Amino acid sequence: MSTVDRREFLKASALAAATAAAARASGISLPILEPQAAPSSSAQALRWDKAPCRFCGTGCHVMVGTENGRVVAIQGDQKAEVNKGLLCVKGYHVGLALYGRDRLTQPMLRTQGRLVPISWDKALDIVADRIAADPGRFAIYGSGQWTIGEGYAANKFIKAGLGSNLIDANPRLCMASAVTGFISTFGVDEPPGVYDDLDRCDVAILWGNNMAEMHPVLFSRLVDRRARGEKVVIIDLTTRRTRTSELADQVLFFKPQGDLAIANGIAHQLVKNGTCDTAFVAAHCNFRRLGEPGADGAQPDMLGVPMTFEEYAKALEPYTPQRVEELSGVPAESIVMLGDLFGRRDRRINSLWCMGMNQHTRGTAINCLVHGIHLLSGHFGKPGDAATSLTGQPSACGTAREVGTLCHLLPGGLSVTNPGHRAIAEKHWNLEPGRLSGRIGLHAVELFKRFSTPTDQGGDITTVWVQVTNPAHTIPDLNHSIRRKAQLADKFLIVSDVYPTATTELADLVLPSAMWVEKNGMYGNSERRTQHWFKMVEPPGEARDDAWQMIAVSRRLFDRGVPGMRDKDGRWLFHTADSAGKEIPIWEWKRYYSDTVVDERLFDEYRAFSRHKHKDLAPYREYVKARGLRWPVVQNSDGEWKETRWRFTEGSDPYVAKGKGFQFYHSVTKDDRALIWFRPYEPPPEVPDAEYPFWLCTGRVLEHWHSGTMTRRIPQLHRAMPKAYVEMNHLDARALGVRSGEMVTVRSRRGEVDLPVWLGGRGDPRPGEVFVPFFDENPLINRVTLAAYDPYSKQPDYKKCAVAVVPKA
Amino acid sequence: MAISGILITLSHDSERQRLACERLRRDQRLVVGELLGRHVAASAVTASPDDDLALVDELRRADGVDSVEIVFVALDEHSGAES
Repeated sequence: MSTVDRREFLKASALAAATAAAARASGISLPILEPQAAPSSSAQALRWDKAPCRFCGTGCHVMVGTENGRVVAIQGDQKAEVNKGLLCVKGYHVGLALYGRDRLTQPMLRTQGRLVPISWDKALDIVADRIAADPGRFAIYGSGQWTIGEGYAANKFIKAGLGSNLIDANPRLCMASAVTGFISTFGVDEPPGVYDDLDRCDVAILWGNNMAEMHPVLFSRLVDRRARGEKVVIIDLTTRRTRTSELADQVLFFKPQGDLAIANGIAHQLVKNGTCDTAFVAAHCNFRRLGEPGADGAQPDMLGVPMTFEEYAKALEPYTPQRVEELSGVPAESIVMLGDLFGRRDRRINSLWCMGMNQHTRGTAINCLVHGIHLLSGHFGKPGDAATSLTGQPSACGTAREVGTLCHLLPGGLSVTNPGHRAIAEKHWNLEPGRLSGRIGLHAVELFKRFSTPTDQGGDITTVWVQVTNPAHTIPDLNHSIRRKAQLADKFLIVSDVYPTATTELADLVLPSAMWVEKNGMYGNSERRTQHWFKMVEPPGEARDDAWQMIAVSRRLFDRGVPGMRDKDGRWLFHTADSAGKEIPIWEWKRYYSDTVVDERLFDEYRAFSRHKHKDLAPYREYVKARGLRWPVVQNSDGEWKETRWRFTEGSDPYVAKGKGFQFYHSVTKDDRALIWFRPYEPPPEVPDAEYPFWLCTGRVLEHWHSGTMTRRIPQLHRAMPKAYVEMNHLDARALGVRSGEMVTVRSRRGEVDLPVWLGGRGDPRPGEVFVPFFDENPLINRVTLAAYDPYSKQPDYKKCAVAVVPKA
Repeated sequence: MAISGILITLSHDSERQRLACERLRRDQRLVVGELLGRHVAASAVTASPDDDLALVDELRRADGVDSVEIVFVALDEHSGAES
């Protein structure tokens, strides 16, 4: 096709996509058209295929246009229920994430301080040597950006192959408190509700959640209802004014950690006013509180101890509106308003949260409390009535939580500490009984602490293989964690990634990875939706799939006779055979895509685990056809695979028995009931004082995704938000004598960084608070943050620590 | 060269809406579709990705325009950049 024809074709495609969006926005029903292929006369026709977006946990589907082996166009997928054809600014530019000029294309070994190209053969041998030398001191650190197949391969490699649980993943930093909240309340992880609740709620309450920037497509889904004449009230509970606040009906500012008091205040109002849904509570809930600490001061366990409704009501008595105002800063009348709102049966309420509630030293507690007020008031399990945790990464749910790439989990939500669960995994993996370890591995913060401590001082992790993530940028209190690795010669860091990062800077061995549509993949989004795509273009140079890297190392260890790499019948753990039973050498890159679909094989093996916790997945080929399916996915008598919207609700969830109405079939108390927890307000571990007088909150911005390694290579996004800044209130700036653009030092007890001040910008903190986005690798704000974490989820609190702000001379 | 598809939402005010529509149709950078409700679709062709973003900003500030969303981006003539 000539350049001119091609441009005309792309212009027509652009207009068609915009027309479809205009029709949809106007409520006009037009047939959904497939994106047009280029004229057939072209030898290298433009081809369109579906994929989930590579960035956040929303799970928008994009249509990816490829031509001549390159991604050339992106449009929102109009067939996708999640985003209905819309995308955010990151989504529209996701294709460019593949084409930064500094893609890693060869394995590289650090030699005399420099990274020097080496062959894949040599690189794989080095990895195998490090593991074989001391498998008990080897750990894997992965990601919510791993595809399901990649996470499954890594999990099987270390848990079945090496018999250890020394694997954790970055969802520990963003999702872990949501997990412990769901498990504490329902006995099983992941949200009961779905995105349909956004379309059906009367009120959306955002708990410390800047949805307009972090989940813009979902926020549009909510806000666009107003344009259609629907009434939806948005209440923004926040510590600073954000873009979300601009579109909220009510903005309620709270002091850091004040969310615990607010939730208890709402529960207190429900009890005091007699507006609890007593029938729902009597039929479906039990009450719980934490037990007493152990004699050694150890945290009480997550199971808690029973309490009666009367004891629960008594525990809430101190949380009067006035007391809650003192603790949270939210006016007493607003607490009364929230209590009254939850007391109304004629309103559907959708609570939404993300990092604000999860990155919290009492993250488990606040998650439990928000579930609790929904249960107490009966705002549960009906369309629009839900408590919904939004995820930060595209497969934090699908890969980390469901596949179980965390140090305490096995696939399918099974636990390493449960002998019965280990037996199930041993059966699925065809291992001898007793092979799997029951000892919980190391969570992210502890893992990097051990790795960054000299071996002779207790630093018993000597080799870490990092895939698809950037811990030297994102771990809290970096100066006292992984960044100390540079001084430790006996520690070895392996990094598989697509671009140079703060972590490859420290790496001894760098392995170039394929990304997104350069490989087959599956993700799982925030609403239990499992999504699939096929490889569309070749990765650059010698970049290769992360799953292949893991499988190839496993084969080397198998060939060396490492016993864990074979099953009880002596076969290699990743044995793959053709229909005639002949082994396919998938450890050879040239055979990885040519003779089988490895991703399908891994997924269908993993799928067997999903049934034990009623997280049933459909066969791989069902996902090829769909724009994702929400589990549990069960097969009807007519053979059709049917997804589930509202879990635990009769008529929606196939596992709820007829006549039950609601059934919490994984109940902690084994009686089909959910738990309503009392958890008290507790102060944060570090508070501002005379020396460090400001609260520091960190977070993301619309244009950049996490540590910015992809989005900062997309010119449109990089130019729109080129560097980090510190937002502060104009009153504080005036007191310090600084103006917008002037440099200040942000300093904590742990480290300091220099940043320009931004006043009256996108966000506006309250007096005494500052905000710094974390996408910028220079400076690294995590040199300043605090490594304190929730005692149950082990998730660090990036949202509050004490800092000083000092003008630069 | 940058090519994008744009969804433009116009003012509720019919006179401002009509004037905005006329201005959009005169803009040489745009091919504008029909008005659907108060929404209009357009494809935009500009010299560079920067010009494309500048055009979107300009449209957002224009009288009679309530919002502008990009719904299609052609990437092949863009290039990535090192961080």
